[in-house]
Amino acid sequence: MKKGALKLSLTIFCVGLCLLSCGAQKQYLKRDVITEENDRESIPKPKPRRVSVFEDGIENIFGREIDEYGNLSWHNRKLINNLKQAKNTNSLDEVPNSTWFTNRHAKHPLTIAELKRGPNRGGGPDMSGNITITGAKAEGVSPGFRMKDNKGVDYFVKFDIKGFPQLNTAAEVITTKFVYASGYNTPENYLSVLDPEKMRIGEGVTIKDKWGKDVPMTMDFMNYILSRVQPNPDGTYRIVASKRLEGEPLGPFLYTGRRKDDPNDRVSHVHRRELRGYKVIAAWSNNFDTKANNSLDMYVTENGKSFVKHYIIDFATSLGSGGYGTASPSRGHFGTFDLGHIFKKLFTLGLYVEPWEKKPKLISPSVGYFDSELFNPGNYAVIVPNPAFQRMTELDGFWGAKIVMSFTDEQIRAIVETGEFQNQEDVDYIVRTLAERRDKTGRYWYGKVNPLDNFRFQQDGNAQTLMEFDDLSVNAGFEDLDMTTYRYKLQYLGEDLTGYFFSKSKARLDLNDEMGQTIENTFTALPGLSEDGRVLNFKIETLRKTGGSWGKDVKVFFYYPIDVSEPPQIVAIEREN
Amino acid sequence: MNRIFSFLIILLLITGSGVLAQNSGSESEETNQKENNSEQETAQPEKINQEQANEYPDPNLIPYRTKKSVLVHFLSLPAKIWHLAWTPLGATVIWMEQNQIPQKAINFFYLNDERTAAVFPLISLGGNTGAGAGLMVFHNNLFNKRKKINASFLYSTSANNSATVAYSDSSLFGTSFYLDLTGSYFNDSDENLYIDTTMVSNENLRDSSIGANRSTKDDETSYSTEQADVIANFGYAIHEKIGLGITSSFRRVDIASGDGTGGSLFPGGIPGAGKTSLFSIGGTLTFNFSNGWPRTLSGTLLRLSYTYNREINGSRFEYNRFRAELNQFIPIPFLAKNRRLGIRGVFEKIDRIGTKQVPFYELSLLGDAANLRGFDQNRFRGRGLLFFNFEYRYPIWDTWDAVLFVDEGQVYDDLSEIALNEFHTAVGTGIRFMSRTGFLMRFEVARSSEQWRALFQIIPNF
Repeated sequence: MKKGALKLSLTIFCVGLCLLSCGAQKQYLKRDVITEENDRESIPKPKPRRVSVFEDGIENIFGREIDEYGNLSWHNRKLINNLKQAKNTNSLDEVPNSTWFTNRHAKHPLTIAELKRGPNRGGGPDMSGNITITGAKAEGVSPGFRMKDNKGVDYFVKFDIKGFPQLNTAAEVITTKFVYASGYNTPENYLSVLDPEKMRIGEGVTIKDKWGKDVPMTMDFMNYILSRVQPNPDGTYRIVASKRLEGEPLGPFLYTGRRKDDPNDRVSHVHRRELRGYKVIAAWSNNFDTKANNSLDMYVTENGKSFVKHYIIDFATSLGSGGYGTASPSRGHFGTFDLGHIFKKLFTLGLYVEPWEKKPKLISPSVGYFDSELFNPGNYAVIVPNPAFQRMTELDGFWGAKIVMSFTDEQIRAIVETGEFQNQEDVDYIVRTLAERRDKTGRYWYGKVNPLDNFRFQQDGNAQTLMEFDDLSVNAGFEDLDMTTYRYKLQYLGEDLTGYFFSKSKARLDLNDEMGQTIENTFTALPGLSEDGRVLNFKIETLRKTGGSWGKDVKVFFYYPIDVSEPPQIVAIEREN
Repeated sequence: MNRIFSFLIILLLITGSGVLAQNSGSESEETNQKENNSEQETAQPEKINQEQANEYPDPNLIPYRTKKSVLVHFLSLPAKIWHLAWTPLGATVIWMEQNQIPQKAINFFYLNDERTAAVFPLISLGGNTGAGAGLMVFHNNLFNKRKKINASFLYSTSANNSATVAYSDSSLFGTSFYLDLTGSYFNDSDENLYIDTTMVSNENLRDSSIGANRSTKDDETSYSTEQADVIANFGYAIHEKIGLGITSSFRRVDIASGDGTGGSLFPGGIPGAGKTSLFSIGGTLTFNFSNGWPRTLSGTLLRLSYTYNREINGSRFEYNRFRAELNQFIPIPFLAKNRRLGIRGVFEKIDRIGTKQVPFYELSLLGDAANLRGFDQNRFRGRGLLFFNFEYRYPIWDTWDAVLFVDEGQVYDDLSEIALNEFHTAVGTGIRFMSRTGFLMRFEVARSSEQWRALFQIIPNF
């Protein structure tokens, strides 16, 4: 091929890339925004399944690496900035309520009391009388067991590791409440006190011996467990008691694929917004162990229908807790056997020093390694690669960040205090650190898109229609409204109907008479247009500082009623990413 | 090349078109309702078909399925092949986990629930026994009093084996006295000896002809050895970091010509040939101010020792051995503290008493996994040695270190022979794994002016 042909190829390549990255505008119709995902239909009970920790780990550590590097289609999408977006979002790019997720604090702020209560619906285990040990804890690294309390209610029990009082149990309780308030299904986790004198081993309870055979559980075994955990001065033990979930357990859900025997499970899990966006919440709370085995599907019956409900469980690996004592200072910075990191260190001869290596600081035995200074919300690494996290896009990140940003300092403190730390300094430190990590999260993800949200139409005193919105970066204090200018124009199916209008230092746009006339003229020229097709959009861009450049746009699609006395209705939002 | 380039461009464009086609619906996932809407809408209002234009995102549409172009499938082929290949492996892993094979395997090696006693397989490559395999048995908390016992056996060939049994009591009867007892056995039909063969018939064969610093690979001969040692080390911990010990040993050695290269040239009159019994007694003073576990990150370790040695079943051999070893660990400034330089310097001097001699196998040795890597085993021998190891160690993972090293060493018969231009050099690199219980495994590759050498060891260098 000669030089000319090469040039031609390059030209075709560039033009092609341009074409590929420019899609035509979708047309939206006047529809109610979907707020509920219809995944609670009755289904036969799916077959319970076990997920191999090793297989899942190896598959995700090595398989996903190869996916990432070996899947040229994915590279192509990255190259043209056309990553697959989440599939279970509604037209406002939000997540409808489902068996996976319920819009809670970020949409409908919970009260302090509700936040402190979290998922808990009772008072916790009744430890006043004898408790019966019903089994050993089979999963995870932390020591524990299963028990029935004095009322016969089933709980899973975990402890603090010797030398690290409150560390694991507080992390479990606190993160449970944050994750629940964020919208996920979690177990009820209670702090309680175990008196070893009241422990009784139930009839026929067995444990696996080292050869995998079932042998009777003995008090020696229980004493061995207790010898590894942190006692209280009076000989009792602080525990976190996780109430057995309602329904029948079906095993973990995977962060990829679908449950084939669940007809309600229609969206591939890697494309579920709430699973992708959980990375932001997990990063904020340093919940670094999000492998499949820390999830659980339950076959439940609610309102006469039986279906699968999806839970995230086990938050002992969060904040500064590693599940078995403190987490390594490297947690959150790189995962298990991260080949990229290993090779980077190997071939840079150790000259590349990770920031966390320079100043690892154990805050206290009850807090562990947990900081905000080195926290990088855009580069957070869980211990085993999570396929849904790997597919996360900026829109998923923005969605997650809105949830994280919904917690105020006061609300964070209220939840952290439920961890019942012995030292107030530990509470203060965790509250401050979570607040700082929250702000870092917001700054990062809000910076990736045009963070305008909560669009609504109003009428001013002169009956002039306005579209107001929240500039999330301004509301969070990251940006100054006085230094912010918005420019906007009307579009219909991607065609400009007007030139730019400007709104300086005001989080609102005018839909003035002139625009109204333009809209009418447009629709009048379309005689066959049905009423619900009267949908057009504002394209809004934001300028943060004088002399800066206009950022990414957000398109707000609204139905423009025939009767001008009715307010327009928001029907969809598209964000550039 | 250009054709390939063109092909890639075309492929990219076609694939991109596939992607675009996917995106004409709601990305790749299409619904029955949307199947008819694969045509991309244009921006021309008069062409809008209201039914086709409905692009509402709706997670409730049933069934959910994926529509991908053939080329998208093609481009994801490498990943698919991996997943296909992984399927049987994954099934094996699941089966192993369900049947608790890893736990059973680990339990198979450990002898008690506390995991203080175990039987482990032993593998060695490039060390004293060459390539060998065997078993190691240990108990690190005997009688629940932290007394240690271990035994190991390494088999290479029927004529090359080693075995060791050791007992260590760091606090005799709860006092600051300590006791270490070691018994070992070693045989090899082909041990290297580099010797100036022109001196073979010379009755006055001098030590300086044996494995001398300037010997060449052409000087290689071979001998067989069978030896048994018993060593007792009784000491007192003067301070947490300072120990003073008395060492005594008995050694029985049988030397003959070997079956390796140059075996026929092995001089029968060399000092130490035949059967010899040796006794030694001496003292060791140790200052251990090193810090870090399992990685030694900083500090100093100094070990000074002296032994008096003589033959028991004769009067041919009698000599003193002086040895000083200094290990210094220095964190590299401006880097994290776990990037460190490990420097070891060893000086050894053997003094004959009167006209008595030193068995050639008791001479100071260089060419081992623990000193001058990159040379043959037992490459250089002399009545003294001086060597340095310079190691730059840095972590590449939680429990893995990489190491770059330079070894410099020389043997001598007289102190006046020590000179800068007499040093032999080996350079190399390696990977080390260490467990929190102190188990260490290292794989190293070294290069010297004579050869490459690969080492796989489960004992630390220093």
